[in-house]
Amino acid sequence: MISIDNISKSYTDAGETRVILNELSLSFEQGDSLSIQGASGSGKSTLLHLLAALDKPDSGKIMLQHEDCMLNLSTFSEKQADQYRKHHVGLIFQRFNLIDCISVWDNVKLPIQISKGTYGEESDAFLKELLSSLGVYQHRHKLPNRLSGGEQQRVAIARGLAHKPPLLLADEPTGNLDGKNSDSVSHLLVETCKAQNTALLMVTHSQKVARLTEQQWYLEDARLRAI
Amino acid sequence: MYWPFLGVLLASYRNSKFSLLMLLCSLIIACSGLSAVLVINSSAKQSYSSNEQFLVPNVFHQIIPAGNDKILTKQDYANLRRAGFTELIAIAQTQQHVFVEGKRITQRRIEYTGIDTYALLSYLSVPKALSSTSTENDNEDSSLLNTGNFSQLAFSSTDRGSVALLHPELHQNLIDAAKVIQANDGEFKTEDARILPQLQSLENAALGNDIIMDISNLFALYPDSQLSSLLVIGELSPTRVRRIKEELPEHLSLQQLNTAAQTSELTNSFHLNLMAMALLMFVVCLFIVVNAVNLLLHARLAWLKICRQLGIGRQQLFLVQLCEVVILTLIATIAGMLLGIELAKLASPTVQSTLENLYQVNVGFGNISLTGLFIQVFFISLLGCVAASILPLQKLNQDLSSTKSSDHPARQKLWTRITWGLFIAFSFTGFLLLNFAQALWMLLIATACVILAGCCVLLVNYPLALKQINKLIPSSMPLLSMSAKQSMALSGKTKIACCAFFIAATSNIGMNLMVDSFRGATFTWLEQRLSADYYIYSNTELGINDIAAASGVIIHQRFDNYTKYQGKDIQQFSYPSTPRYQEAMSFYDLAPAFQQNNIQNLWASFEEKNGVLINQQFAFGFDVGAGDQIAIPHPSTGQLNNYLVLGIIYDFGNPSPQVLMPVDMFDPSTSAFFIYSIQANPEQLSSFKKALEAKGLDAQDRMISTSELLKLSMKAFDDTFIITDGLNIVTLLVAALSLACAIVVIMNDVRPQNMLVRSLGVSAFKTQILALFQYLLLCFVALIFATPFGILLSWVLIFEINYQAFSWTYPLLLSASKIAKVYVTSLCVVCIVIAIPLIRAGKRPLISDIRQMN
Repeated sequence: MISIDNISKSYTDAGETRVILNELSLSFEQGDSLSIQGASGSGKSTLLHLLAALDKPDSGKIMLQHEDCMLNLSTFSEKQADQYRKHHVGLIFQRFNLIDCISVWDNVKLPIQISKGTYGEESDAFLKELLSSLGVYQHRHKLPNRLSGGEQQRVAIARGLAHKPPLLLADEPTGNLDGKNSDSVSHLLVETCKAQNTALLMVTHSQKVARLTEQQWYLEDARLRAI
Repeated sequence: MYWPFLGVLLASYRNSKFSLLMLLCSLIIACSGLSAVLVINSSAKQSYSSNEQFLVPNVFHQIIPAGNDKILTKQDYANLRRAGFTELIAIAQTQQHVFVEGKRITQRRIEYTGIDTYALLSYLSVPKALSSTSTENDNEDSSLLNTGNFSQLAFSSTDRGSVALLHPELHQNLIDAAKVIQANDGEFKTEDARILPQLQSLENAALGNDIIMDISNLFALYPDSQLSSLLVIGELSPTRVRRIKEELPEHLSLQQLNTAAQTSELTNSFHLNLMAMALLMFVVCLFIVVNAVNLLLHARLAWLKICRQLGIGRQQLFLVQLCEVVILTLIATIAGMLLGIELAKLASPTVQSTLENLYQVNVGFGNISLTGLFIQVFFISLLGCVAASILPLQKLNQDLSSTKSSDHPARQKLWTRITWGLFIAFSFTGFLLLNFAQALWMLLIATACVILAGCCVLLVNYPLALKQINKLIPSSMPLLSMSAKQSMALSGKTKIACCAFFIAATSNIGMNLMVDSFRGATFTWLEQRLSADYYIYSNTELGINDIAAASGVIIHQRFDNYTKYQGKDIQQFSYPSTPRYQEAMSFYDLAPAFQQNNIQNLWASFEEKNGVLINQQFAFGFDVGAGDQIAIPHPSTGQLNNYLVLGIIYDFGNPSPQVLMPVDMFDPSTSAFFIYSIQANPEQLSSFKKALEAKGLDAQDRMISTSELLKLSMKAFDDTFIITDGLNIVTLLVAALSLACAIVVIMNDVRPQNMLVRSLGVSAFKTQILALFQYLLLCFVALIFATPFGILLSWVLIFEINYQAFSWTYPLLLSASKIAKVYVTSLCVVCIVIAIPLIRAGKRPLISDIRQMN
């Protein structure tokens, strides 16, 4: 589904060039789950941003299989990148995942309305099932700031999967939660992705969370190594 | 403790350049607006008082012609001086343009004043035996010129001859105007190429728009000039007054100059109007200061929290930041003051024409005391700034504490109740003042109460109105709906800015409707009143009546007479009662007996000299109604008679109370006149023109058609209201700036939400449009609330302020297109002002927001 081919990325700070990713390659298919661990500043989030077409590599290709053709993410224009995120990617962040002036239900509904332009009964049933499976259906009429951190992250998973993207990118989704909540949210995340046949790429510091995914990678010295 | 914190404070400017810039800009705008109005105010005040001042010291009486048709001659002057009245000093005045190389260089006529300086100097140098006066020069400061100046005028001579004095600014204007036309010789001349005396600048604000010279020079330049008055120097004893009166020929009269009360009244109203203008501008500017300080504090919130953690107390934080506000105010005052002076100079011609139209004074150039101006501006600004900073600084204290109590529902409920309470208080005060106030300043307070009551209504109902609007957005537009909901959340954070916008919008709608109504009323009134085909302005007998009779042209002469009613000056004008002129009359109110289609009887009564018509100024000024009786002198005989007030008429633009009386009540041989109205067909007109030209009168120059007159009058009207239009736009701009400051703060708050929306694949452009929609929605709702209050304000302005200030009112014209124009202009101004922060936010890449937030 996505194949990363020899990508490199470096940053220049105060005249000093720092290589973050060095000729890195990786590929995964729909329904796969991967976790990436690494020290702070090792480039985990950068890799995630490249896969979300938020940033471009200095060299190498990120190929996306779309229907019968292969698209190179690194050559996407801003408009193409917007379209890609609209239809192919779900994003979950550590914080600020929900719009606080609209209800939980409206938050979850929003990606469907943005990507499909319409919202029908089928979507309604799907969202009901999704929220129920994540255990937050009863909170659907509440505003996000009325929910606990764990509940908010579960709603964020639902929002990330609502428009059925083939790829879900999660940047330390449980980084702000306590141990118990972290376990339950990460379990739900992996299981729901599997159930939806969505590829999951999760950046995390927690080995426990990482172990829930099928493939575990460690980013060190700008290169990936399998654990 | 203070110094390290101050160091951190200064270092913080590196990261909050934009906020600092906004704060400084808003302060400079506030200070420059205030300085400009203070300069205009002071200059106009000086000029106004100079209009009521005399050229020489200790003048309490003057001798003038007994009527408009009478002339004060040089022979009269010589006879009176020969009779021993050496305290009489002749003055001649004429208004003329200045020319260079045959080209006119002045936009407005300059007042040339000639003084018999030799007579004056010889009088001042001899002991005052004849008059029981106290002509010490202790009062010299209250006059325009002193003995030195008179000597300069009388004896100074240059290679070009004698000297004339004028204000340096007028002098500079003439020099500049001469440069524009690239004059070679640079000599200032009259229209018929007579060279003006050597112009010398004299720093005296009261000189206004005048050129002062010796009377002989004035007659040399303008031989046709007449003496305008003879000033009597020194206080006169009753015996001396009696003696002068006995010696005066019939065509001259002695007039006591005691206009202090009237002057003071007019000056106060004049001053009050300008101060109201300044305060409106200043108050709106303070809204920017509140938002700008908020913006600055918001930018430093994070490190202020660290300072608190390091043990710096709230009071210390407050004090240091207050010092910062004082320093910034000082910088802004200096910059704003300089800008304000330049602005005042720029606005000078427009302001001059407006003030001259409204108050009929000659506005010249003011002497500005920079120190005085600085002290005034600095202390007013400082007071305003400190007051405006307390609110954001207190909010900062709340933000620095761990609990935010402002969101608590009980507290919100309390605020709602307080706001409703304030609404009731403002409404009640406004109502009382509007019904019982007798002074203009109280009515201005009532106007402020109306606006503030509106602010309270807006604050309480803002979220409710936004909620209703949100309901109208279809569910198929999720982003729009989300934006509208976000607006509801933002309305709580933009209260102050929205109030500033509301005030600006309300005053805009109010002023626009007032001006539109005034314009409509003036146009209709002029169109109706200007019933003749042509008008000739002339106050000298040219035999026009005979020429008209020979040409078959119907002509009416407008006679006038000036008399007193209840001790105040009034005008008596003649009005023809032919059917055409009857139709042309525009009534504000009729006596009860003539109200029901009984207008013919009214005119019959008018022709029978049983009744008169009065203008609104007379009716409101003396509290006279239609149907009342008034006792006024007969314009020809002077005999006091009672007349029924048949009706009250509109008379816009006239500051004086006026009574219209039948033409035959005026004696053509003795009454003054200044205008002829002409009705004629084209043939009659052509023959009339030829007859005029045969008599050596330039018909083209003297006659003005009704359409031309109407056009000229409306142009004068529009010119008068240029300032109002300008002020409206400035107020809107300032309010929009205030909103922009608030928006910059909000943008930081809504960044995570926008980041999220963009991460869902919504383009940056769409996000910007959505943000624009949010802010415009806030403004639109403020405009909706401003509309009824704007209409109410225009009602107050027309029926209360105008009534009190000018003694006239006119029907309120509610024009939907005018209100729509204010809507469009306001939203455009907001779009322009918020475009910069919006574009700035839109240009930030999504990835930088994501990195920063997570």
